[in-house]
Amino acid sequence: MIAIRDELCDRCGTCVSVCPRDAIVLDCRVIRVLQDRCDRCRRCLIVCPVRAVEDSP
Amino acid sequence: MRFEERFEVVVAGAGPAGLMAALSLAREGHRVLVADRKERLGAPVRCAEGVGREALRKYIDLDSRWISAATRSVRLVAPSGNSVELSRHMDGLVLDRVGFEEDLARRATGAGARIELNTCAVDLIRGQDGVQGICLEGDGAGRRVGCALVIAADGVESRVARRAGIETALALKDVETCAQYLLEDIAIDETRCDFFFGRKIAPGGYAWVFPKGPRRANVGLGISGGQAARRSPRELLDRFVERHYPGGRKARFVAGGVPVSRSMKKPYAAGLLVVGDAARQSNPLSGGGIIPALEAGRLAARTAHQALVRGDLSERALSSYGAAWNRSLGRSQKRYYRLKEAVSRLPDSTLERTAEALSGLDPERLTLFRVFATALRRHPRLIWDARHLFLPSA
Repeated sequence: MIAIRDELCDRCGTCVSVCPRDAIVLDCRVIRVLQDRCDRCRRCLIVCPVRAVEDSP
Repeated sequence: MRFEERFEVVVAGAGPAGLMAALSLAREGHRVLVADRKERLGAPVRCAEGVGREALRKYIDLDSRWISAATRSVRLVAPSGNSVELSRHMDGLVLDRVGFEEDLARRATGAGARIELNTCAVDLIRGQDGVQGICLEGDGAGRRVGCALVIAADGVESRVARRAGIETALALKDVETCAQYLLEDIAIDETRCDFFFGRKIAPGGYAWVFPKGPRRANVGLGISGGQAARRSPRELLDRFVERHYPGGRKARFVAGGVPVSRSMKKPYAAGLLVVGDAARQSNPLSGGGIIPALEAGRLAARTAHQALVRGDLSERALSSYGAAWNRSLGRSQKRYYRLKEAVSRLPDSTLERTAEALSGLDPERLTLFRVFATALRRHPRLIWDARHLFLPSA
C-alpha cells in the first residue's frame, strides 16, 4: 500500500504530477492516496524529493 | 444549477501565470476570481528565483523591492571543478518571489480582480458545452462558484486540467525533482549564477547557486525523475552543501518538481485554458518557468477576452491560445526539449572536455551556443537547435 508520511511531506505536488491514475489528492490541508485508484506503480515514491512516500505490503 | 456567486473567469492558482492572466483580464474589465490553496502569496518559494533581466522587462516594470540580486554572468562548472564563464547577454535577476507575486497581485486587485487564499479548486462543474463553474474548498467548507471560463494555473500538479479530461501525468524523465536551501553566511560572488554538472552531483540535472544578497544564496539541486530511484535530491543536495559550503547556515528548505517536458499538446478545452507549469510550459533545458508562465498568462488572457466578448467559449474558439503559444515560446520549447534529451545523456568525460576546451576564454565573447556546439559535436544535427540558445531563467 502506498502511503505518504505527513510529517515528512513538503506538499510540493511532484507526486501528483506523475501519478497516471490521478490517485493522489492534495487539498488545502490534506494529502492522501486514494487506494481504490492506486495501482502501486511507485512513480510517486521515486520522484518524491524528500522521500515521504512509502510502499508497505 | 445554483451558484453562490458568479464570475466571468475563475483562475485556479496565484502564481506568475495565473496572476498575469488575472491582471490582463481585469484590466479589460472582466470579473475575475483567483483562488490559491496556499496561505500566503508566493510562499513557500518553490523556485530558484533566477530570471533573465531583459526577458522579464517585457512583462513588468522592474522594482528593486522584489529584486534580491542582479547578476552579470553565468558560470558552468564541470565535475572536476573546471569551469567556463559567460557574461555576454547574461544579465540576470534573482527575485524575491514573495514580493514579486505580491506586486502582481496588488496590480490585479487594483484592476478589479479578487484573490482568495487558503482556497483550493477541487473540481470543475461541467455542462453540455463547456464549464459552468468550479467547486472551491477552504477552511473545510466547500462552495460552488459559477463562471464561463476557468484558467488552470495550478502548477506542476495540474489537477484542474485532469478534471476536464486532459492527460497531464508526466513521464518520470520529464520531471526534475528538486531540493533547495536558502544558505546564509557563505562566500559567494553576488553578481554571478553558478551551475554545477555531473552524474555524481546531479544525474540528469544540475546544482545551482543563485545569489540572494550579501553572503546568502539559493543553493539547490534538481535531478531527472528517471534517475531518482537510488538517491533523492535532498540527499544529493546535502552532500553538495557539505562539500562546497560546510559552514553555511540553512535558513530555509523547500522541495519541488519542475516539468522538463514538451508543452501540453492542447492546453485548452471548452471553457478551460491551461497555463504555466500546469500546461508544462517551462524551459525543459534550464527548468526556468517564470518567463514562460508570464507569456502564457498574457496569451491566455488575450484569447479569453476575445472569447468572452464574442460569447463563444467553445474548444474551437479557445484553440487560438494554443496556436499563439506555439508561435511564441512553444517553438523554442521544442528545441530545448531535444537539447535536454541529448545533454542529459552526455557522459562526464564530455563535460570535462568541453570545460577544458573553453576555460580561460573571455566571458564577454563566449556564448552558450559555443558551449553547446562543443559539448554536442558528435550530434551535429542538434547544434541547429542551440543556435538561439538562451537561459532566461532557472
